[in-house]
Amino acid sequence: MINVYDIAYIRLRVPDLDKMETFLSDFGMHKSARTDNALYMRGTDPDHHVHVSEQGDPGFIGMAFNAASEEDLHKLASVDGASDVENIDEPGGGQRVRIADPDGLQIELVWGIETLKPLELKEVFEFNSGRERRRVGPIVRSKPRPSQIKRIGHIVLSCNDFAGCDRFYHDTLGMLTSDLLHDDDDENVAKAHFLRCNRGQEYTDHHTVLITDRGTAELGHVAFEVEDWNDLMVGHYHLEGKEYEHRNGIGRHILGSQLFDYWTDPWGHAHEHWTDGDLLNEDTETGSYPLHTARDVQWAPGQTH
Amino acid sequence: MPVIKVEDIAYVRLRAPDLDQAEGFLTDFGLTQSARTDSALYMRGTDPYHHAHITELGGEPGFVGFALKASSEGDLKTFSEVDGASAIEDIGEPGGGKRVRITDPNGLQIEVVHGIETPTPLPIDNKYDWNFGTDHRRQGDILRLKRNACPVKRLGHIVFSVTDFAACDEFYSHHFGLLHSDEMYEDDNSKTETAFMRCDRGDVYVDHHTVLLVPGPECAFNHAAFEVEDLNAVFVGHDYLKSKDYEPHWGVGRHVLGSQIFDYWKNPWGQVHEHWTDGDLLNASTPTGRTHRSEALDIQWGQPAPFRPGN
Repeated sequence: MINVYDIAYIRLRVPDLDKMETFLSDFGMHKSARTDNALYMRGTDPDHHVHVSEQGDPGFIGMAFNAASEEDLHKLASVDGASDVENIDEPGGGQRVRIADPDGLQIELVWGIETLKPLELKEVFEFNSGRERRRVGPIVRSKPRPSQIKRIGHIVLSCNDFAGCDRFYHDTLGMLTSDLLHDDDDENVAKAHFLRCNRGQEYTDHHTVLITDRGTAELGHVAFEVEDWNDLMVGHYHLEGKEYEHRNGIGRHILGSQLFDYWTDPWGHAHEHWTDGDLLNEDTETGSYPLHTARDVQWAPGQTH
Repeated sequence: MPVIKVEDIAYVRLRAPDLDQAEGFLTDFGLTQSARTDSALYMRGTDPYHHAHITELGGEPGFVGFALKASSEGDLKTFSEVDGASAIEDIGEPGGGKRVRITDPNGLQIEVVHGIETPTPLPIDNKYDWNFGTDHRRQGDILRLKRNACPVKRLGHIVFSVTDFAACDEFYSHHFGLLHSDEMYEDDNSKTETAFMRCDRGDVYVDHHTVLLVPGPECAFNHAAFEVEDLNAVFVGHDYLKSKDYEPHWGVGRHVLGSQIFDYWKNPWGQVHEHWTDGDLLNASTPTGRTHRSEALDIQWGQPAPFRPGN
């Protein structure tokens, strides 16, 4: 039908917007707008917001994808169950089409949301590897501070209707499968699929959505890209000093290769910092692995072999 | 003027009661055997230098000394004429080369060496570019690290304690041309208690420190620090050493002074060996820094040091 270009933002619901704003600021985002009933947070990239929190009982409402063209909004609007093209009556404006995925999650396809001046990156240093000296002269001085979130990267979904979700994200949103994960003991039983956007020859993240067959529909986690590994490390120790709940990390995934660090917001929604993921394009072949590979690491000092 | 200006550190010379055990640890730490005799073990990094680490067989574990690289054979000759120095001698060990020996104020044997064999560099696994937020350098190349010992590139610096810093400072500055990168004071701001020292190669950039002398109750080995390829190497090496049940000492973290990503481990006799990467590079024009000694072990990120300065 269409090929979405990227993920745009997540939409959560939480009972206390002040508390959420504090957590997300410590996590490395900046407030873009706040209304009586919602909080809009951005990264350093020009996107108006990458994270929306609506006031209410804690929950996962859905997510938005950037359309590759305005025309794609009209294409999606013609699909059964999709809304018309509508104006987004929220800070940042723009247009959208809404459609529910097979698990009832609200999916928005968005276009024309305001872009802002990028935020200036602080403390970005070249690095000296063994084979290549790139920081000849300047010294590194990183102060304790939040990481600098650049953008939203992906969302992991626990699916109730796994097969239906697989069809929806492929057929309706045009995603490609980067890696297929099967049951550890039975390779004929699909357990999870890493899905990326189809941008043709242009490179994109290894995954924008990960769907997992869990028999229940809920948020696995939402993941945000930070500038580099030094920034990720600095942010980790900032959050540790604030006594937020740490979920997992620091480590390096196998599938997608990201350096990862998982923290939870005050209501248990997992938020990930990542950097240095693999970039694929339409020519990259699909991999196939047992499910445990998704949890295995290339390194992680907190875990043993 | 200093007698000579050395260009880098060459190797550390330790003593251990069991060369098999020493070789086992150093291999897991990422060094490769270059030679072994009845009485000594020679381990190299991936860089083309015959050895970066010597273990002499002896009853008690100990610190024999270390070697600095002369930039020319002429400098060896110049150095041999200084008070207390030996004549130029053939090294008479695997890798050959020539040296001049001198004893520092602590009684340590310092060798100034030249002409040691430079074998072919060893291959390095796990070399990948990085995808930064604003700069994608690894498009299409999927990263799959081999979880082996992380290869050590070279010896970077040595740290040991001394009873008389001022005398040692004078000795190392005068004989080898070492410069102060960062000086530290304690109670009296005008009195330098210790200093990170680097080589003087003029405009050429060198490691933030090659030698660090810390005041202590006796002359004792503190650690020898070996450069590895990058952050992945540090973490892969950390996991590997942990899987082999060696004793971690401190890390992974990032120093303030020198900026290295560090990870310290103990060999079977408690002698500390450091993996590091991404240190600052200075040249002879870089101004000297000055900080309170309590900041010597400060970090930019990581867990705080589990010990006090000088221990």
